[in-house]
Amino acid sequence: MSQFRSAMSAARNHGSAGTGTGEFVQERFTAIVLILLGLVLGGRLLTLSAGGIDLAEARDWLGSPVNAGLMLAFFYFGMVHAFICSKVLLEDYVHIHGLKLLLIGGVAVLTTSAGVVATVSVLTSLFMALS
Amino acid sequence: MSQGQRPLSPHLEVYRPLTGSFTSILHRATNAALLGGMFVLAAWLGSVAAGGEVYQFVNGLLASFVGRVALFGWTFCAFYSAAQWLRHFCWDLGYGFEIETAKRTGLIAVVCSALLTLAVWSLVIMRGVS
Repeated sequence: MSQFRSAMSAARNHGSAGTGTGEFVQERFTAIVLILLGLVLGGRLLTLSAGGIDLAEARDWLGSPVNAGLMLAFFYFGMVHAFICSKVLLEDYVHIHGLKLLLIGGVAVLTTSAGVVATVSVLTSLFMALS
Repeated sequence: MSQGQRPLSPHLEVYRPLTGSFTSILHRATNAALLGGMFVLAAWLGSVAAGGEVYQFVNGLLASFVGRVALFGWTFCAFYSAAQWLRHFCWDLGYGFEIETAKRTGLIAVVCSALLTLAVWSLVIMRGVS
């Protein structure tokens, strides 16, 4: 079978000539977006989550389509950024190939799940407020 | 190149403490902490949607002493990560590699993040989050 594989296909995904550049750009792009979103959302997020705010107030804030939209964007870019950064860490420090793949897969599942939970929750709060 | 000869990323055990390795390791640690923070934020958003006792529970955790300390920590992590990314953007453009400059910007990143964290929390406390 191996005589039908090109040198390129044999090399692909087996070394540094992989998806590095795309991730490099994505990591930086999401960082810029998160800094901007952090400036817009950060203060409000802190006062909301620091407790002492009742449910009605929290739902009122998430009931605005603008706030809900910014929150969704924050989670999307946050989770993409967190996944790439975690992947970089695991690739740097875990040298057992199988374990590394397992951990990267685990982080992918966790970040995606948290993103889905956050998205569904934000939309639930939004539609509750709008209906 | 064989596995053994590849250059290594900042490992805790092989570096003498230096500004460069310290700021890099701190950035990595803060990013890991922020991932945890995002999970907590997702849980908080879930509790807002669920309402009732779930919200009381999560809100209570965040308003507790440990919760406040964690939020304080995440505030620093967010500022530091942003500051560190600004350093990275300069490096990507080819600036700030001189040892003295790199040391200085590293120190500025840590100190400014700490000061901004204190400033933000002074505001939060003054606004009367009890």
